Parts: sequence; C-alpha cells; structure tokens
Amino acid sequence: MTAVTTRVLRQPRSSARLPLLAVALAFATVALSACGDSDTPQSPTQTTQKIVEVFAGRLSPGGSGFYSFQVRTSDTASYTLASLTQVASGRAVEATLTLGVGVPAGEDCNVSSSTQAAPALAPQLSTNVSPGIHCVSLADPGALTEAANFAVRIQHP
Amino acid sequence: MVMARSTPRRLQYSVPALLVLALGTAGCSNNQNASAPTPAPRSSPVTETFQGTLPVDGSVWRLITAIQAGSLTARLSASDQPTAEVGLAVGLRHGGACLVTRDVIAQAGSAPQLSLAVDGGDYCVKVWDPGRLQSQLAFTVTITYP
Repeated sequence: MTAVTTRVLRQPRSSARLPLLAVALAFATVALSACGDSDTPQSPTQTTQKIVEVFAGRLSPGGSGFYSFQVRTSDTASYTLASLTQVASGRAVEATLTLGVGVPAGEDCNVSSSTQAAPALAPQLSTNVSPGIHCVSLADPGALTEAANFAVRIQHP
Repeated sequence: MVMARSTPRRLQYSVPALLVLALGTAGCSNNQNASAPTPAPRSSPVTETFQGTLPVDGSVWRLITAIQAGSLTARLSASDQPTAEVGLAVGLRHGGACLVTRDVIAQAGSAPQLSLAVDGGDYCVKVWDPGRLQSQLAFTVTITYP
C-alpha cells in the first residue's frame, strides 16, 4: 500500500517537472541557435582577401628549389622575390634570379610561367590559378657567387 | 517516507534544467566578448617617424602595414651623431623577422635614402650598425607608405 501510494504521488510530481525541463531545453535551443547565427553568415560573402605564404630558404650558386601550396578558389595569384641577403652579413644581394610557377610533377615543379626577378616588394609575377596544388620555384641562373638567404611571398586565393 | 524519497527526485530534474540554462546563456556571453571593435580606416599615404636608440653592433626595426599598392620611402632624417653612418633597410616582415629587400649605408639627410614600390602587406624598416659606431646613436627615420 505504501508502495502504491508512493507511485501515485511520484507520477504527478515527475510530470510537473517535465515542463520545466522542456522550457529550459527550448530556451537553451533558442539561445544556442541565436549564438550560432552570429557565426554563420546569412549569405555567402565575396571576399578578395588573399592567403599570404612565404617560401624562405637558402640558395646555393646554380641551385634551385620549389614550394607547393594549395589554391581553394579560382583567382589571381602573385609572387614576389622579396628578399635575397648574404648569409654572413644579412646585407641585401642585388642579383636577378629565375622565379617560376607551375604545378608539382613528381619531385619537381613543372614550371609553366617564369620571369627574371630582382628583390622587390611589388609582385614580379602574377598568374590565374584554379583550385588545386600549385608550386613556385626559384633558381639561380648564374648570378650568385655565394649562398644567399631568400624569401618569396606568395599571395593566392 | 514518501516525502523523503521525492526530494532527491525533484533535484534530479532541477539540476539538469539549471545546467542547460547556464550553458545556453554562457554560450551567448562568449559571443559578445568575441565582437572586437572595427579599426578605423586610415588615409593613404601616411608619414610616420620611427625614433629610437641604436646600440653599438645592434639593430632595431619597425613594422609598417601598407593598405594598398604604392610607394614606400625611408629617410634617416636625424641622428645625434650627424656624421655617423648607419645601415637603413626596408624589407618584408615575416613572423618575428625583418627580411631585407633593399639596404643602404647612410648619414642623416634631407632626401629619402630608400624608395621602392610596394604591394599591400606587412613590411619593416630597419636600422643597424654596420660596425662603425663608437657609442649608441639616437635616430629618427621618416617613413612614408601607402
């Protein structure tokens, strides 16, 4: 009898708590979805912001190297041989190197476009790129008399 | 007996409900904190002065950000040792380094010692001692950039 009574008493109390839980869940759902709305744009946003990567290393006389990067959307990419300095002193080296772009092929970069570039802070080369893996290469055509540190800035979509 | 059993039961529902409420509101307060003030647009080009003290055998550099393509000039405009020659360079700022693009050994003067075209981006202007200073040098470099 006590057990039956207990069961009867408990049932209404349990049901009475359910609306509170339901209201709390509904409130939290609304609150969380409102927070989510602020993170999610209502419509796609067009942006011209480019990804900037730097290919840096050391180049020996007559040497070459390349760097691969991933393009997400079709747009223009630009490449700047931005720095070429002496290893010991850090002074600028005013040599002209071969800057190229293309797509990776095995362990190399299959260059499709290139130019002769001296260090500058404005792009020496620009290309239209499509989504996928691309590469930028830097080679010394015979201008270096000793190893030099270099940096190539890549701005791509 | 019955009352003693029903009290923990009530807590069983109330505590999760309060937790859910707390989670819901806590998520929103984080979002409010995430809204950073939008930097005010600036004019272009701008001219600023880079003043500092160059230690013997040392170097110092300043970060600048070009908001569009244009011309960057750097002039060692003043120093407390007018005949002293120091290195002046501009370059690409990458991480915590200033990667030199062009440099010159210069004395303070009235015309820019360095001038070059730049794209929008982060750059640096560097002053260093090429090994000619006998004591630290106070300097001013005037920088104009887009």
